[in-house]
Amino acid sequence: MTEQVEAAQDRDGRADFDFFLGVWDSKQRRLTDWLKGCDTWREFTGVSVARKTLDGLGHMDEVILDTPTGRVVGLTVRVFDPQTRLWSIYWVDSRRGVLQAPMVGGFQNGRGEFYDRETFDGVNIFSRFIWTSSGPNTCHWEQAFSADGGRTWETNWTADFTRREDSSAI
Amino acid sequence: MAELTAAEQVRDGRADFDFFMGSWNIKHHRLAERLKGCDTWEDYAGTAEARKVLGDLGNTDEITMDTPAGCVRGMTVRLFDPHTRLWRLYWASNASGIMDEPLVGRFQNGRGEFYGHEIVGGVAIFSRFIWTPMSDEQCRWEQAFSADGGRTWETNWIMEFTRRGE
Repeated sequence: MTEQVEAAQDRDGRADFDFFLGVWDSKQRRLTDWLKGCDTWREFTGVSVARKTLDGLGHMDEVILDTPTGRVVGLTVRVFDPQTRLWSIYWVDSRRGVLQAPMVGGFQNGRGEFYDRETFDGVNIFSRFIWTSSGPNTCHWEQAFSADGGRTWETNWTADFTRREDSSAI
Repeated sequence: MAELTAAEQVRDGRADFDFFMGSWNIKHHRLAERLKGCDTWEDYAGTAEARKVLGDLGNTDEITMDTPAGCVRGMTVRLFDPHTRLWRLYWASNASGIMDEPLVGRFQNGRGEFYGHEIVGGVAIFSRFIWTPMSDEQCRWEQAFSADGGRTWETNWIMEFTRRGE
């Protein structure tokens, strides 16, 4: 592969999650009840390990969340489609053995937005992830739901990530 | 649901892919064309690396296949549902850009059968994986498609795995 081809590939979006490769500690904040006007948040910590797959067209991370109700292990798979230049983000956790329908989207101007339609408590909703990276050692993720077709969004889960310099304990 | 003991968990099916964890060399046999009465097979070499995720409830692998047109890379995510005791097998390759719909199934009597439904070349087909662990050092996977609702199956891809020494 020529250097020009590699440089063009780096710009097509497949490198846009590279900031997240490695080992991260996170502060997680999760709204207690979703889409009910709740303003009580629970805080807990997480540890994530992210690596590439599919020769750079995929990323996979595993997260351990120590929530107030117990430890949850989660797996995220992100697959990049070079044709559409879109990422599909799939999530599964240790409480159920099914990969959830993907959040789909991409990065523009340093901000990643990913959307899906799903059913929550019998209500048809839109869901949204926002990813922002600020420097090599910190990044932020948040999830929001909309029950009114995207007019208003309730953020229900956020995570602030700090890169772990010493990953020997993993 | 009552918590299962560790011994019961091992028997519920979640350990049924443990034979595949580790590093493997692969002999790929691929049918040149699918669902066209073709009987030309192509052989390629490849490798696989498999490891557990989500504790005991899942595993993932990365597979390569060295073809004259370049290296094909694929990844699989396998997830065990303790409630139904079924595995879901999701596949993505460096040509697909998304994870495919899962094949679903389980092992019985040392043989794993997994079924899915997909569209190939505009035709709705059934797809089937068969996994056969043969020994600690060898196992086999094959994929077949059926375009007649499962009456007849055409095997189109076989992988013969030999465990790689460290």
